[in-house]
Amino acid sequence: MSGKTLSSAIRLGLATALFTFFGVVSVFAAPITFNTALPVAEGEGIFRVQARLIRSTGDPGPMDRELTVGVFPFVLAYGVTEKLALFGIVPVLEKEMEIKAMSVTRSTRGIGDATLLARFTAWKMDRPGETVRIAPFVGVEAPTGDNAEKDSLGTLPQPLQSGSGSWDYTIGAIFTWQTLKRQIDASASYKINTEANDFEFGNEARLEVSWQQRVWPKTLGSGVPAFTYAVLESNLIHNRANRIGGMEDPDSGGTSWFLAPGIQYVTRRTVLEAAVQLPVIQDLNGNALENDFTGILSFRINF
Amino acid sequence: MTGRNTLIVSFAVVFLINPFLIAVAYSRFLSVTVAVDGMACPFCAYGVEKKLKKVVGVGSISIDMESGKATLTAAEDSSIDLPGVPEAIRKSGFTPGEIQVIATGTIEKSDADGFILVSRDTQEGSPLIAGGEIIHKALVLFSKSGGMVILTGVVEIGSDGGITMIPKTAEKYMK
Repeated sequence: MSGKTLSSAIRLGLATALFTFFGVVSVFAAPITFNTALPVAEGEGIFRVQARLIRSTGDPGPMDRELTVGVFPFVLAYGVTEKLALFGIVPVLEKEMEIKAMSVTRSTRGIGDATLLARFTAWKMDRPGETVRIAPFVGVEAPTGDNAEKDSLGTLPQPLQSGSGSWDYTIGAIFTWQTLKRQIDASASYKINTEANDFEFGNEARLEVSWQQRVWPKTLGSGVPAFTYAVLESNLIHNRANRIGGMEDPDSGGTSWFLAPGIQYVTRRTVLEAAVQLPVIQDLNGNALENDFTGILSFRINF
Repeated sequence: MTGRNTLIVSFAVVFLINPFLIAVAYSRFLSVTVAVDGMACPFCAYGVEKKLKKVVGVGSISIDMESGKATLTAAEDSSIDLPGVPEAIRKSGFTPGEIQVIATGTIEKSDADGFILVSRDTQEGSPLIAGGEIIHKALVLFSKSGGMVILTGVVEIGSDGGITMIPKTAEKYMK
């Protein structure tokens, strides 16, 4: 087989499947798959580590490809002021693409592209046991990940690299309504990707909603009891097609809608949570590889 | 029942149910209970707690999620820095609501109808607004006796940090 054929096969598989799952992650008692407008106290910090397992085997083409990605985003949030919070996100990645029709496996691991995000609470309304907030945010993703990794078959295709090699920019806004019984978050964001190594990931638009319902304790006692939330999240994601050498890749991009049921256990200092993100609709271009599921397990600590 | 008798009875009740009142001497603001509007989850409550712990004079804190209130108790021989309380809540990202206090000091008359709560330690004074006839009579009585009193009530903090208290009860303070 030629290296070009192999690269093409991998690219087709990864193009949409990977890029869909690196949205901004939250550090609050909040959505599991995206951010929230809840505050970070001035001068205080929150740390979160998450483990995501992404599995894609729905190959519409003849290559019989399977993709497995493990992502560990480490997130540090810091309250600069009561309204301004900064988030630093550094992912550690492991990607493996198996092309069964060719008996080939290519993989990589390492630190991915780091994101710095600034979120500003533009409006809030606080009442006893209830808050409503709107917070726009901007982010920049720096090319900290390796984007020229090689294996025995040569340089890995760009989507299989740990990093994109490009500076990418995100803009968006989050709405949060939280009461003692439930929380609803909604986020809209747009990510502008730039070109690097003659490759440009397609821009990405996300519309996400999260519902968290306190299921335990049924009635609140005195003090600060731990809460258990049942969580249901919806992620609607549209990716434009990638560009290779200035030409649009017809086997990339598309629209996906995911639902993620989950559970959260929230104490004063920590949050332990798990969710499974499942595809409902995947309207992908060409032979882009479809996602089977994404498993998410995460832990947050207030320090 | 006369106003004086009412005071004696209520003093006995307060004395019995608030043992810490006799454990902390000379403090001006012994206890502060503040509404934290917007606080609706345990993880957020910890951010509030962290900021309130840094307020000068605070010894311990308890937060109640259901009522949305934080209660601060002064460290031994200390007074809680009252203006620092709403500031800490704002810095934690939430909105301070009504502030209830338990305060000690001596009562002095300020003008024809006004009173001041004076700290025994610092000699600083806070204006008092008597909200009813009974409390007014009590303040007159204590201003004449000159002894230490313990007041419960609501405070308002001005933009300049000035504290005005609206007392609900006034009792003779005994160490």
